[in-house]
Amino acid sequence: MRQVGKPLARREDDRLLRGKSRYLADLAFGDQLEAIVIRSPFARARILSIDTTAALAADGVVAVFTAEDLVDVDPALTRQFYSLTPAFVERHDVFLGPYREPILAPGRVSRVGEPVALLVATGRAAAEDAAELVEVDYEPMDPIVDPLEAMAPGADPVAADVPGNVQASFRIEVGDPGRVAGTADRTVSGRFRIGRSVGSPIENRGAVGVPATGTEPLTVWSTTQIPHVLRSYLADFLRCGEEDLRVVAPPMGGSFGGGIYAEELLVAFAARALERPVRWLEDRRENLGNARHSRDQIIDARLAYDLSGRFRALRMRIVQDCGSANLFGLTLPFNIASHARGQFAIDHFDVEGLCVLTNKTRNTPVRGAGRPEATFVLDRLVDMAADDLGLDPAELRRRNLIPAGEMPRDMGMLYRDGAPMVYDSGNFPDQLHTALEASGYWEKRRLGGRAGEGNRARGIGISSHVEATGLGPHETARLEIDDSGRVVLTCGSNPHGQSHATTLAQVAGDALGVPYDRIETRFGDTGLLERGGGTFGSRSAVTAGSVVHSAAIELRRQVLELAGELLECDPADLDIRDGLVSPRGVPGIGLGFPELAAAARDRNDGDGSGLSAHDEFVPSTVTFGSGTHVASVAVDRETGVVSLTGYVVVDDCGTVLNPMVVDGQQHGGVAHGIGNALLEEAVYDEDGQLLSGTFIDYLLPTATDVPDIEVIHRPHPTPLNTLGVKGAGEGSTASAPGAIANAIVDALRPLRIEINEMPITPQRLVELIRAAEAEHMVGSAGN
Amino acid sequence: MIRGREQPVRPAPFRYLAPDSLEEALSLLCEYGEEAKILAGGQSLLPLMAFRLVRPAVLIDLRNIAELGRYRLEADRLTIGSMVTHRTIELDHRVTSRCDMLAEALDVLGHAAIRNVGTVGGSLAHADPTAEWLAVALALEARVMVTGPRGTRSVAAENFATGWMASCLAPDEILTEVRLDMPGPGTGSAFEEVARRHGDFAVVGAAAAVTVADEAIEGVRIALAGAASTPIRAPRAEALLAGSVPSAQDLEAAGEAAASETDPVADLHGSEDYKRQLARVLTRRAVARAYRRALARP
Repeated sequence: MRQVGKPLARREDDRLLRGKSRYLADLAFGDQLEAIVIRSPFARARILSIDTTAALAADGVVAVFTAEDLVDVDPALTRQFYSLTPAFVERHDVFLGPYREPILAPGRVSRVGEPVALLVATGRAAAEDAAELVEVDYEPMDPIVDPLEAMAPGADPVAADVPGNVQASFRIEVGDPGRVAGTADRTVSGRFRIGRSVGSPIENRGAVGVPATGTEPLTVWSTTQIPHVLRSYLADFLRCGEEDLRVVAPPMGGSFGGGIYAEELLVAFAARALERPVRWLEDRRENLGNARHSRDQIIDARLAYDLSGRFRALRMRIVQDCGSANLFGLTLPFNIASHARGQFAIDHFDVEGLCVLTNKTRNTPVRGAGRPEATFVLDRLVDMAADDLGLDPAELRRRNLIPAGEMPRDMGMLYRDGAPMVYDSGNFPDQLHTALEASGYWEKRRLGGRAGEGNRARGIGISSHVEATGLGPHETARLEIDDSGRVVLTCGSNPHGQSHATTLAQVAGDALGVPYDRIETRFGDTGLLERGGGTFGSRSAVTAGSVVHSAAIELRRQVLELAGELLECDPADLDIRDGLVSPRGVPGIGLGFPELAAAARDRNDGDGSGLSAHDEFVPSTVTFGSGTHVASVAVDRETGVVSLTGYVVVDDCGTVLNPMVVDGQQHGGVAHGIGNALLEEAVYDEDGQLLSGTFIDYLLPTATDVPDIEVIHRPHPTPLNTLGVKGAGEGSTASAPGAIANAIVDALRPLRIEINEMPITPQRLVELIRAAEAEHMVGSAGN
Repeated sequence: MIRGREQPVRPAPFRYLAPDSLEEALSLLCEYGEEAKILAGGQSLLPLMAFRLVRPAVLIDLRNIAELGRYRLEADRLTIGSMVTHRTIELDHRVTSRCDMLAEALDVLGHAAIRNVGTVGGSLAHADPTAEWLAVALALEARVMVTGPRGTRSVAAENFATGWMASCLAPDEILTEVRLDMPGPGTGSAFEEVARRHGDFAVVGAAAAVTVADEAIEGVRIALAGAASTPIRAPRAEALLAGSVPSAQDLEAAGEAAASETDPVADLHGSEDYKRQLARVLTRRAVARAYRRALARP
């Protein structure tokens, strides 16, 4: 039975639902110590002195480390996460300034929450009590919290080596946008503000450093998405070889982006210095302020089109607020640029992107990573143009979608990986048609826009997006048959909710003729696999799926060859079903994997079965998934409260490995997008203090905020990998904000409001409604 | 590697005491004075302690005092011991069927998990201006019973909250019960609230009780949560409505009047203007629904 494509039950669920998963905080390491980070209370200050005397004298305190103590290590993170090709830099006029994020603040702090000292004690309670005794004398300075102020001439630099505060920039030009925009019949434009958000995994961050023993290297257990990358940063920091280190990512309670953090490095340093395991567990307040934030752009955009409704040119300027340091370089604004045209044929396009430093928490790609921002802006511009032209938004969209016959389509620019950006597959018009039908769009459009009972008005809105997925540079897997005959799958991409143990086992199981639930899976341990990429950017189904597939095919070849020898027949005449190697047409008799493993072991003089395949997948470039969403809302015109009354997702992630898993990704993605659209906002005051420092003020969507979501799969497999898989992890986050914004505008159709900011809070909506009503009354009075 | 569960400790160190009687609790309160805090359901106090915003040296838990955990409905009088949970009242149909305002307020008070543990007395004593219980107590003209070394006193709900999270409770006093009169025939009630998400603190809430005679409003009581630094009544709005057979314009005018009586405090979830707007709309809606209900139960 083919397993790929079936909605097979997740193997992870039993353990998770019974509360049997063991997360980082559940693990104990002998005589481990507890560390807590002492953080800056100021957004910008000089540190005049740090007095640790009283803290060191407190009960249970073992050590307090400050910047001065970081000897024989690199005192700052300086290596940027992604490298860029020279051709890409040349083509898109890239400037990339230095990145520097101190491990512990050396004499100055540039954001609230910046680590100033690490206090290590025998227990958490002792550590927290003693932390209050560390005396740091600060001289506060005026912070810069507004990126536009940071860019103004004469602004103080946030980082000494980034004068002018623009840390990175690029420029894209496709076609002749200046001329075309100037000659197009009509334009719509706006300044769009995307609120700052926090990834907010259920489990906060944490890391444990365990000193080297005679047999084990220095080991860091961390809630990381990228164990192999962390190992390489640790090697830089500790000035040792990667072979002297091991990184393990235990089961994780989610993760939506992040990167490499000082805390992960500090526990290794402390463990090495103190020769005892040192654990750091983040609390929620720390997470909301110190796990890297995301979004937070100001985007000026202009769409030019003809009276016929044909889009001619899109122009954009993106100011990305990066916070105090920018590990990820161009990633966020460039992602906005590369997804800015969405599913539409727009031949003339230019974007300027600027990464600006401010005295706030650092920014990072979080689920969607530029796609929700780009899609929101485009969705709004399209509906504004439809309003201007007097066309239904669905009709204007239909006229401008890239036809299926024009796939693959070269978009005239390079992707971040340096390859030409090509939409490789998909059928956008079919997607739109399917979404409109499933949502009852035309009927709802006819009935919407009027205030009904309780002053609630109903509306419907469309969003469509593309999603570049499966980013390289590489992914690695090993498939082997152990001595007992069990198939063991080891992969460099580690899950934190993505269902790797299910979907990758389905892929391997199909190739090997073994049911997925009999394949043991191992992830997230650099001790098991020399290389690995990690899990981010909707890459795992593509990259890990592809390498597991090819390794499993190689292992199958080995199994059939061995079985052919043992059964004295041509391997081509053999088949594997349900873990049994049988002559074709004679199922039910043959050799099981335990017998094969035993035979192989004998042949190897007892030294393992030797049945093992190791492979690495290097994608040529990204592959584009896509989706179209239709949201239905009811808006209380007096209170600004928005209720979601219906939601349809039509998704194309290529070959669907497991529809139930993909549905789950869509549900989670929509929920995340609802949060961004209506609720979530990390707010700083003018002193650079985070006002939304608890879950009372930073609002995540809960069950009552998420409607029933209908997910429809319309897969168009990619030609870029053997499985035909495209990523599915982030697309739904991309479209929810635009679909919801457009539905709200539709519900308030008579008022013709413009939404150009997210989240769309009830207060902001009431302000827009009142302003529109006032204008309307002035307009009426004039008639 | 050894597996185990060690929970991080958050609050500053404190002593925990759980006396068996009110007398004992009062004497402990006298002994420790301002160093002590009374623990009821802990739904507000414990998070504040976890943030170390409140650092009592002693917690006096009332959970073992049986008399505080009882409530009774006698004729029209509902008497609720301070340690009775929200959930207990919510699930008693005899109570909620007598008072729509209370049923509606309990439906939006936190989440079931909070209502299972949080207590009526704890909510009142915390005196959060957005608390549903305070607004309901105000609209029903409840009395709050307070016991201390000088004896027991009965405080009118309108005199209970004295400022933002401040009440008339002296440091050596304990809130023991609240007495509410259930609306009788000819009276309808309603509770309206806007919160950012279901179960969140109210941005603004409005409680209304309307008594009718011959379709005209004979009496109306309106209380607002989240509209000032304490919960407030809206006497101008009440006066406007008294004696009227309320038209849509009357209701709108009452909403306007109520909004003018507010003094909201801006926060991340609403500016002063937005909260005034909510006070206007929610007052109008609560009164309208309470009036309809009053007509339906002569």
